[in-house]
Amino acid sequence: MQELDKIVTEAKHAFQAARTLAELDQTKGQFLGKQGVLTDLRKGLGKVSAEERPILGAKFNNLKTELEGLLENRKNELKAQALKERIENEKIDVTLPGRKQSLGGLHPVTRTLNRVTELFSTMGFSVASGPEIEDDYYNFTSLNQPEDHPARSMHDTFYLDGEQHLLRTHTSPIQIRYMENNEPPIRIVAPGRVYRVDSDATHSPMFHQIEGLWIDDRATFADLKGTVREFLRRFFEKEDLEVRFRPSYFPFTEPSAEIDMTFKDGWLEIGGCGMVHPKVLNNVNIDTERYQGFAFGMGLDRLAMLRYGVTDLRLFFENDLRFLSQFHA
Amino acid sequence: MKFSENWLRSVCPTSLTTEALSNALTMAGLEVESVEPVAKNLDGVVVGLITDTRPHPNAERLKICDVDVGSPEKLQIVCGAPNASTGMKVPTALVKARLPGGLVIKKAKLRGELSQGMLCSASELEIGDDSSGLMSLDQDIVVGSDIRDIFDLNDNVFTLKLTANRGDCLSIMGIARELQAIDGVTAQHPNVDEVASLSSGAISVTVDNVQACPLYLGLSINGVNANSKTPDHILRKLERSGVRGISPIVDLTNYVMLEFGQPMHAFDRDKLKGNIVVRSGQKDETLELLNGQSLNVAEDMLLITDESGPIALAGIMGGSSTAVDEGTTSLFLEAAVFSTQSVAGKWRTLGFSTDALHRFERGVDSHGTQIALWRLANLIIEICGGEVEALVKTGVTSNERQAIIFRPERVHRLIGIDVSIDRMKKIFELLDMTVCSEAGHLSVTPPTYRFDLELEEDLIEEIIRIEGFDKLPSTLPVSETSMLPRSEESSWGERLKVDLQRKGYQEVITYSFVDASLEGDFGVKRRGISLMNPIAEQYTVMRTNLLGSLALVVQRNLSHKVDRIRIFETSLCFERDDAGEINQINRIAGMVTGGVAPEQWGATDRAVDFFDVKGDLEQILNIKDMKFSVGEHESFHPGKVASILVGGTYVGTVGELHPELSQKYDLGSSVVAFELNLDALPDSDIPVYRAYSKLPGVRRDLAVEIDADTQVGAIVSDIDAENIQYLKEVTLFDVYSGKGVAEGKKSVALGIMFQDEQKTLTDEEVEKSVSLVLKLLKQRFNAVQRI
Repeated sequence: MQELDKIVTEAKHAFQAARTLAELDQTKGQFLGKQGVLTDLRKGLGKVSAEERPILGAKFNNLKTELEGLLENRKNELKAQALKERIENEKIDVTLPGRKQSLGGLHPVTRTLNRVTELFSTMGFSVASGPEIEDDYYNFTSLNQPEDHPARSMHDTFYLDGEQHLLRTHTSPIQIRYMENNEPPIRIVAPGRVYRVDSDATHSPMFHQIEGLWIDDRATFADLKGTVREFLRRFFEKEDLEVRFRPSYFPFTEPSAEIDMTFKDGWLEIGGCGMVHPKVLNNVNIDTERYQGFAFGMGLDRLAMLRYGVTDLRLFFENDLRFLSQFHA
Repeated sequence: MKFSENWLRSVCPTSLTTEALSNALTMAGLEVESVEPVAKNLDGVVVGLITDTRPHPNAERLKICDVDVGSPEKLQIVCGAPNASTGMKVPTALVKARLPGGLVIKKAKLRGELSQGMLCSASELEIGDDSSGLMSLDQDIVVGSDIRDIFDLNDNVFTLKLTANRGDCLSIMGIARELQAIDGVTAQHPNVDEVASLSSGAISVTVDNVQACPLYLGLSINGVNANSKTPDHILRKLERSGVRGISPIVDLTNYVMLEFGQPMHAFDRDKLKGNIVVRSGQKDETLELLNGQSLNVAEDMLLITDESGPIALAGIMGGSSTAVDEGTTSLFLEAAVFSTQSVAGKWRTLGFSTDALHRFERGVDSHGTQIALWRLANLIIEICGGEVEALVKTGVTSNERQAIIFRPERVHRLIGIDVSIDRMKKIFELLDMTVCSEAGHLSVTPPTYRFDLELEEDLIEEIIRIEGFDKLPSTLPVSETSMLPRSEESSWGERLKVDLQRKGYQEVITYSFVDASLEGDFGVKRRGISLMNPIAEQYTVMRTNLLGSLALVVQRNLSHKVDRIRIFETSLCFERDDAGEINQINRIAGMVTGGVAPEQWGATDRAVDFFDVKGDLEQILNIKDMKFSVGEHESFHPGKVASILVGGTYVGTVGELHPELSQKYDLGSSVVAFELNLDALPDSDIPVYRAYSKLPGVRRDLAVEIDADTQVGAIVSDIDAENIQYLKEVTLFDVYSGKGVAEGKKSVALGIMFQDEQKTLTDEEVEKSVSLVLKLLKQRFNAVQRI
């Protein structure tokens, strides 16, 4: 039986000598394969006496179990080793930059527009729009600026078509179109492109306005003040922002005011507002004894400039990607 | 409107500080745009008397002057001015004095001689233009007086940005009236002497169009000396109002306009020929204006004429043929009211405006016309001498204003603030209005000069304007609430903006007007709409498309060495339809050039091509019956352009820009672009759940050979449309021509998925369906399976 112990020792060495799973597989054959040592031994079992056979049989089985155990252990060792090697080989330089597609982005004025309409929608305003080529009636007359009205010279208007048409000088025509087709209560904001013959660092011949309109049976100027202040505080995320209303004149509102907000050490004009002029309401057949309301307008580009610290309005329309890419979300 | 603060204070002695005055005017609606000190940096300059001059021992051009500045010791000052001479009184900057140029005077040695100050020219003090020599001061000025006092330099120039409705504030007296209401002080009116009974004189005035000229006064003055000097204090007030001194008669006319707001004109009476007629212009008339411009008179212009023809453009500018000059001895002063309509917008046709036009455009009160005329006559006689001879008057002053019914409770309803009735009455009275209490309301009559007060709301504005908007609470409106209708799918414009951004496109915003030639290259031919008054040559036409504008953005960025560009824009485009009507179409367009991915390690470096952009569109549009067919568009490469159709309707184009345009606009080699008409896209569908099979599917790959010029796009859609049993999805995964494929042919590889909801498919079932696919391909595309 010394022979059996010898086999175990040999197997141990042989298994240990195998450096890879493939080698181990070969070595396994020597001992546990069809032609292996164990097979020979089992064949030998038939030749021993009947008394010895159960004893030898048991020894043989023990031997087989032991060899299989040795094999399994070695297999696991080699597997672990192989995985370890693979992991080591797969090592990468994680400091290399990641692979990417470029990000797109919205124009800062669009970002601002989205933010403004979103804020107003939380207060129940819906968004209205209208044409950019307008006629005299919607841009001026309906808004209480008949021909020869001196206020018309405030707006340097682009004309088309022998003055039959013009580029809207403000978003206010949207108010008229909306009120023509909707009954109070009315709560809308109307953003869009507007056009005036004017160009320098703070004026562009095309720019963006947003106009708000609230008509019901009770809205007051105090409500207008509250609404505008609320908006500016939310927009700039500054609870201590102060807003000042300064008497002014717009043909389509009465009373009218300019809106100033605190900025750095002083006041900065940010828009205009007022109670909708009774003549405007008459023009769209809204009963002024029953209904009243307020309107306000602001420059979207100006809001964007203040929000993002842009100092020259023209940058918005030059579309230099080095500028635009600074506003990616 | 610019004015001198001291002038206003001399009329209306308010106790407000400069800052408080500025703030009070602004908060009452007369916005103060700026307050500029007349002499910002001027300190320590006094009147000096030169008591002796002697040559400088070391410098030929310099003199040494002894100067008495009222202190016990005389100063020795070295001076280079050629006119420095003994006995002259001159502005003398003492040691430590500050001059407007920023110069601070120090004790110094000039070429070895002590100099204890500096003698100044008018230009060095910025109180005049003369820099040729020392400013010579009047002999009666006391030595040692501060120059700031002598020249009234402790003054500020206020610039008001007046709104178009407040023409009544375009004068010192007008602003003083406002200040009375704001501050409660009383304004002092200048004394004006009128000569009661005068003949109407030799010149008669006829007004053809009474509406355009409701009142015309003409005052003749004889024996004036046009060479008198305009008093310094008047010149200063004019200058600080931004009006240049010209000659005494003109200066005084301007002065009274600034004082009372009534524009007037002085004709040289000896140059007038016959009687005056105020009438509209006639064809072929011309008028030589005072500014030298020769005007072709239009029929909508109101003229002052005499027998020789037009002599002035009414309410705007006088003519040169009757202008006052040094030889003038008799005057015909015109003080008239010309209607807003007669001058409105004329600055646009003329190309210039005048102070008179500006005032008449906003309305001039006829009730102030006569007193202004007499004020002018008084001043002229005082300064230039002469005698009033005749007064001719045509027309009448306007009627008194109608009372406005004012319901005090409307103030609270509209504004949201309680103001007592007494306070309201007080405000109205401060503003010169007449108030009568009647049953349930007040009857309020505005003054004649307030053309802007017409309705109850106008009066409410006056209340809050004087009371102050800061007295109003800020409240949030209370209203019935409702939930806004909002569809789950946002509009295509909104959706595509977000989706394109995700696909790496940057939004741009460009002008809606473009160069006509750009429109010619990219636009819809003969559909463009031109601007009548473009701001610049490159912005003359409203664009019919966005591609041209995007091309310019690409060009601009390429020139900055940004070589990979993906941009889009969405906006209205404008075109005329067959009937000539203007259509305003919502479009979105994109343009792409450069690498398919940003430059980086370990990624395929390949230029973007047609299929990259088409793929973007296929993904983000994802519309059921959308098709791409061979397109036609002059701005695109004829072989690389597809029309995008939805249910057979054209909705847009995608393709590579025409190489000619790429070259012309320096856009590099391959620029791919698309443009969609957002208005033509169908409403998008809300997702609807459909059950899917949990059983395994079977994939079969087929390679077929077809003619090289067969359009592959139809193969997939045709198989899809055939409703072959068990067929779930077809994927085109390769198109190949070359080795192994016959000349003139190409190989197309399809992966086809079969699946059933109820059972696992058998080989026979799959083969049957595959053979149906092959049969279809054979019939429609003459396709042969490659094995």
